[in-house]
Amino acid sequence: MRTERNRVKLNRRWKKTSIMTFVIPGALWFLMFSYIPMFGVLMAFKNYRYRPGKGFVYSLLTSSNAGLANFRFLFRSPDILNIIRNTFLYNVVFIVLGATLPVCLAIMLTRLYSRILAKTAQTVMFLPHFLSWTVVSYFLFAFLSTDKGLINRIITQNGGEPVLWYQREIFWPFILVLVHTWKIVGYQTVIYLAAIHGIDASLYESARVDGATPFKQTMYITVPLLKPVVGMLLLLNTAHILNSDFGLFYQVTRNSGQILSVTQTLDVYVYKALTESAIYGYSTAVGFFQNIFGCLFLVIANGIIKKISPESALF
Amino acid sequence: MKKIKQTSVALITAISMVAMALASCGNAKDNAGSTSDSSTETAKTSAAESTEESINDNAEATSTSEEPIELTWWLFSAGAAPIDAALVQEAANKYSAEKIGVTVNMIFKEEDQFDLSMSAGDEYDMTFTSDWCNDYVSNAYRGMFYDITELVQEETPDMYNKIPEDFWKVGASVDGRYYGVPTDGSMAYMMYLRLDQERYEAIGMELKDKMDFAELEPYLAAYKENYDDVYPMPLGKNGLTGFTNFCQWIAGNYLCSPYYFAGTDRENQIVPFWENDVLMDRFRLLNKWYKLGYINPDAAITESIGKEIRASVRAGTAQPGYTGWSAWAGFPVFMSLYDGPFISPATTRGSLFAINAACSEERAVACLKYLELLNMDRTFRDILRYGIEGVHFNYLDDGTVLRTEQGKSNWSMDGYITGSTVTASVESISETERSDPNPWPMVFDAYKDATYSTLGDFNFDITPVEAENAACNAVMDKYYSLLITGTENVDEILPDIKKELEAAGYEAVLEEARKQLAESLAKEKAN
Amino acid sequence: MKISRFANFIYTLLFILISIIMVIPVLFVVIISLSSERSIALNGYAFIPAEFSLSAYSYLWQVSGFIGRAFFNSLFITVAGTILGLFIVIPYGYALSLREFRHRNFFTVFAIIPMLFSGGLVASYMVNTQIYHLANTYLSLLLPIACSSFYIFISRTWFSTSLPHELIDAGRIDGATELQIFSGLVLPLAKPLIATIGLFFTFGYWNSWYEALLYIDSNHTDLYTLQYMLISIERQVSSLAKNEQYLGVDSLTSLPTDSVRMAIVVVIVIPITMAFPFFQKYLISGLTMGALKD
Repeated sequence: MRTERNRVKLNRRWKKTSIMTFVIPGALWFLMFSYIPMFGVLMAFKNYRYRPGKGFVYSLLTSSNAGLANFRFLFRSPDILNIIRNTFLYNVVFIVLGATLPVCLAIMLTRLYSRILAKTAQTVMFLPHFLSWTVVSYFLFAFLSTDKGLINRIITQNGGEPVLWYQREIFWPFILVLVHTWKIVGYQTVIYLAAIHGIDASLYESARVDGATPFKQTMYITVPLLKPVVGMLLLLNTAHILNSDFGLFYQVTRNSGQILSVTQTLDVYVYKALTESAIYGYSTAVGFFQNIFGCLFLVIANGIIKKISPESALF
Repeated sequence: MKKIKQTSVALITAISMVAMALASCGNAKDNAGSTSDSSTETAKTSAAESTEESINDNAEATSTSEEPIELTWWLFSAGAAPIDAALVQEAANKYSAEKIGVTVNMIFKEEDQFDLSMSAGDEYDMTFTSDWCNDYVSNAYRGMFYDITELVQEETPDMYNKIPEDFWKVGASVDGRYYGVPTDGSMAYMMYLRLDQERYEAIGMELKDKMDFAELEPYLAAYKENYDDVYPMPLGKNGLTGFTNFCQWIAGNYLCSPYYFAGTDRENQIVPFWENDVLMDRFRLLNKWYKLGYINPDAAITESIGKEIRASVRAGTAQPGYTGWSAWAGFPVFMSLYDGPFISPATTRGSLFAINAACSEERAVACLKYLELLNMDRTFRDILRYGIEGVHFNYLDDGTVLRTEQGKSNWSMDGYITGSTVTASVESISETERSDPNPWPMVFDAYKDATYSTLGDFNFDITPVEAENAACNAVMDKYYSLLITGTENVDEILPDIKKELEAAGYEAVLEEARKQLAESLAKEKAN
Repeated sequence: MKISRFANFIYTLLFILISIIMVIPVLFVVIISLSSERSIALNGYAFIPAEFSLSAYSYLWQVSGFIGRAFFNSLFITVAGTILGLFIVIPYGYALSLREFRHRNFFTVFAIIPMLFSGGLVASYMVNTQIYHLANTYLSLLLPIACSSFYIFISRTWFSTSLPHELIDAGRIDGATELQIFSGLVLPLAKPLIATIGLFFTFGYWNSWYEALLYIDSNHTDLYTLQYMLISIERQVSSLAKNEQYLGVDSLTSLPTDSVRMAIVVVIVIPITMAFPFFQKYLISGLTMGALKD
């Protein structure tokens, strides 16, 4: 297990380069599956036309330039500002929730007396993750359907008028945020649990000896040490500030026309516009647009976080 | 930090260049194979389509003209491919290899998979194409399909002459050239109401062979009074099937040219849907019925009305003598014609098979020969339509066909997916319920009264106004279900729709369509 | 010191409530899978169906060849994929966490850019099928999702904050190579991280279906995964509804019913629920920290 101590200098250099071997698999993967296909971004700037027999790349390169015309497609919609607003706001809410709720839940889980309840709760919290959005939308429909839904049946049995859940906009921001949180909170909690697990137990021990209450322990040990993870996850999510989960916004809402002003996001809009005619130049352009914005936000957010808690920063 | 970013950018650019070089090398190699005369090399370099499942072990053969040519054939399937696909393919290949020296490798694709495969340049020889899936006209305009105008008449004149002229001249023709072989079968749109014969007769309502759409109202009212277990006319978000087929739809579902304009001073006009009075009246009717409780309140967000729901009114397109609906519903269904017959390019374009423009002439001819076999040889057609004789179906004494249980579950799909419905034998429901073994004369007879589209050979090339069209489609997606299920009153929401369509640019699309139509009509007059 | 009994009571109530909210939809799915198709047609989805029936499960039993194969595929790619993914992600995150790594900044940026930019669907599809020839192989189900910048940065942060650097220094002084330090010293301590990322990969692969949709064609049904089968049925329903006027009744007969679809969901959810406790061992065990000992 021991190498010659005489060759310390050589070893040092060797060790530094040998750290490189750790990144080789990942770097190779990124190269093959992220960087090489990246030339596809060109589609956003071209009027792509496949030329039979000549291959994708040739067709792409020889297609006529569209400049920024493909981006104008997006701004044809009279609702585009509303759509971008929806996408942005939902993501902000999701990010903020994702940085607070699961943290609290994780901390609470570690404090429960009953380990059995803690383990069960943790397992069960993951179940929603496995239900596809279609299944979730069926479930919601069983509650909110106008004539057959559970809630309306209870209302009408008690003499009330059925509520048109899928036609009134006011409900949906809440419904969507709730459903999203329900689906993802188990997943997020696990990340924070692992981070808490990584905290040195002796810190708590010495705090306890000093007479700190559990609350003080949480505030002065757990929270500060979780800051890097929380900060970093927050940052990572800003990179996708204009993306959205299609299943949530299209299937759960059942694409109901009357509530679109609060439920339509960018990805849903693009899907609907291009479902009749798949113009990949447009979808690539929108994707690029989302990427640029995400990048911008990430850089800004990273700059801000660097000032607050530098170890959370991404770069 | 700057340096790192600069080097990163440089590195990424370099990598992308390498990537593109790699990609073009790969493609050039593949395509060199496909355009050469060596058919087997193409079979091997067909990247996306693996030949694992191909029972035809001649794939490894050298390029001699004695070995069968293997064609890659894309077919449409709404979902999973039929279970016995490999079996039937093997049987069909044995037959076709013997007769014409051509075999196929069948790949079933869903609608959006077609778009992706065509755009990415996946290899194929023949593909399903139609007005509603893998759009025939726009692909033809883009040069994706082989121009077979001369070839089909030279190499396969029998097939050319067998398929009715309307299919060629109206359906397959794009600016006078043919880019695919149409599948013959029903040529016109005939829209029927499918009425629950049992229940309506039980409450004394008389069913007529032909009725106007508005005449449904008393039936629905009567049904609602007498039965309360189901809505009289439950709808899904796509409304009644074929409900808007009495117009030709030029762009999405917002620009149309109704057939009833013919002979009036509005003949050959393309109008936005709100100037289509018949359609607007139908929307108003639907809304009235919705409010009266004849339609389920959640129609606009319901995917579809399943078989188990005993809807007293459904709709569909069919031809006279069609018996499938009763069998499907499980109770007697009365067919009442409410629209049609109409013949237009769209109606004759329900299904075609097109050949990859990148194919060599030899392979294109092989494709045509295969299609000819499919169109002329009834035994062969039945293999692809019904499966393997004795396993999936059996012939009855009158020439019709009876499916076995295995046939019904493992090889069951619509006729036009694999080819001509006229050439195939007709299916009987059971030993006792026989279908007419030769229904087609009756069908074509009904077409004598058909209204032909007056727009002629007009095909709208939407490329100049693609962006506006996409935006308009998004607007219509928002409102269409609400109109077609009667959820909203069309007069109330029309101002909003108009406003949004205007902002999306429908006027540009309309102008372009009118311009192209005028050009097309002028050209036809000149000929 | 433990939290007060009152606090514990509140927390207990809260988590019981949360657990109920999480479980109810799954219960609902199970109930539908046991409802008769007729009662679904008449009453929609209900918690207490008019009629119970095992027909969904008997149907699944009939096609058990298919389901079994799909199950095996899901299992295989989940296990293989998780191992592959961990192999790619964890070392990368570790390397990024080491300040002495000379090329640290470069590889950080190298991992950030793919998170921000992508070439689009058509380009990746084309590259994967025409250049790498992945179509219709298990690799097409494994490789495209074997790595994620997200996981790499979670790992990096975990290593930065939870790994005592002195340990690594000590290892170096003792003359061990980086690899020895990593495998012998770091990995044993990194169990919670490995469990977490492993969990994510496991669930990601088990749930994946998009790759199957893109890269497995109709001639290779033996490569289908469970979740893909379900999604493909759901897509079939929409496609049939959308194209109803063009499709004849033949296309409509072979559609699995709602209860069958829910039964497939049950088959998808149950195994993974059983896999969870395996990971939990590494996640919660350490939660019996000093603070809770009394």
